[in-house]
Amino acid sequence: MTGDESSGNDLLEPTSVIVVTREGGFVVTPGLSAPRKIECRQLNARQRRRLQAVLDELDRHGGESAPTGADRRSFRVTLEVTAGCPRREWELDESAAPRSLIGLWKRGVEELDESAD
Amino acid sequence: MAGRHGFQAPAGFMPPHVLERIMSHGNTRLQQCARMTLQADAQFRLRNASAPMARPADSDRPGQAARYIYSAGNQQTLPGNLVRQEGAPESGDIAVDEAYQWLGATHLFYWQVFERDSIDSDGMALLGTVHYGEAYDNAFWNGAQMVFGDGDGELFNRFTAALDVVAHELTHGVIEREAGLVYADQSGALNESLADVFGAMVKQHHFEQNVEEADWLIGEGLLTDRVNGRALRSMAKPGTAYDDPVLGKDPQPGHMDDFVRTSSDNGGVHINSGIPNRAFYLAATSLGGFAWEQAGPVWFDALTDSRLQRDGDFVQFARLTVDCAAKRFGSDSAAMRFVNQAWIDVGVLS
Repeated sequence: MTGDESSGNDLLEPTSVIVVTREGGFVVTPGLSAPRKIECRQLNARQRRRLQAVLDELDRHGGESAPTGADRRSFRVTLEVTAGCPRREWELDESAAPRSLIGLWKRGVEELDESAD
Repeated sequence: MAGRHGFQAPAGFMPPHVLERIMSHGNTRLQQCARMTLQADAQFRLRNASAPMARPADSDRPGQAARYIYSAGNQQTLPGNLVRQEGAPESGDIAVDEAYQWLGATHLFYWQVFERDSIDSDGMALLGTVHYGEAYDNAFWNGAQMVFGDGDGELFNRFTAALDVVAHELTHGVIEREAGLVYADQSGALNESLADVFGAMVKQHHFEQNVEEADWLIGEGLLTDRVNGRALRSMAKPGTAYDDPVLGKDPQPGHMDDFVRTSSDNGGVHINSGIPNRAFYLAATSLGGFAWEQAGPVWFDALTDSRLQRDGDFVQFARLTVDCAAKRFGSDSAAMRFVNQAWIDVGVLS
């Protein structure tokens, strides 16, 4: 992820909340389906820039066709401005998900600290 | 594009079932957009279908499997490197050899019980890739082949360890070729249930278990000792397969009263499949003997019946099984009565 490559079309505001969930797969359990929530008001400027870069990357994946088959996993990313009210939503097959998104789902804010600018 | 504060539809992809619904229920403009998207999608798939590699040869002998097992080498590129093919000796790689053995057991089941020769009933080559991804906790059917992860070793063992899981994935191919059940909502849950039903029967057939001896679990052996659970799903008692601090509690219902309405998991396809799963269990155990001798053929007849619609729901499928039971065993047969009663017991028929 390159945090300084943001599109300039900044979607994030201090009140923004990003929710990342991984869905589907042969194994569907409530524990593993738990969403990862990231609140922008708790991020510093650098973390927020990197989060914006993740969203920019998701936009670049727009328009891809849905995968065929069964038991495939996908990621759903929801951008909320006010609690519970989605403003944008992305859905990507696991095989098309950028590494930065998978990291965000696995490690949350930590991913925004660990990835290189 | 919607305004800055307006909601946008999910980016990434629009599932085909949504497009198909728009085609049938949307206004003229939406129908045209959906049709164009589906056409573009079909062209995209056609262009990409033949690009990576040609498929290996199908079987040229009826009833003889043509298995090809690949290793992804912990990458996510398919199909990976070919490690073992039909007739070759054991490779020494346990995941490769399990995939080979269980695909063979599944092929044999379909051939011996239903005279069906592979996924397409015409000797289609069986492609399986193991060692997919790193610590990958999943198995799937991608429309052309089966894929198995090694599991993370903490919660899940390798996905080839369980015969019914391998049979489940192969059965998705059969379902796709036959009913083509849309992978969402009730038709998606039916799709999942049929993969479980035939997966369970393949296991029972291989180990020669009657309905009393069978465990009626899906994915038994997949969970490590650290997990408080027996399997991923229970067909006999949906909702009781596991209850674990990390995985949570098995969310499957066994009755329509507890049907789960959710937007995740394509509308709960792996959750609500517990209801038709239990119906099959009830029918099979009421009839007794081997599940593949009475209940199994009824479910197979329904799956391959041209009246089963791509977006068929539980009620449509239930009525079809009752009709198929009457046709195969007689309208006053125990099979017909028990199948009908099974669907009543899970609240699908009244």
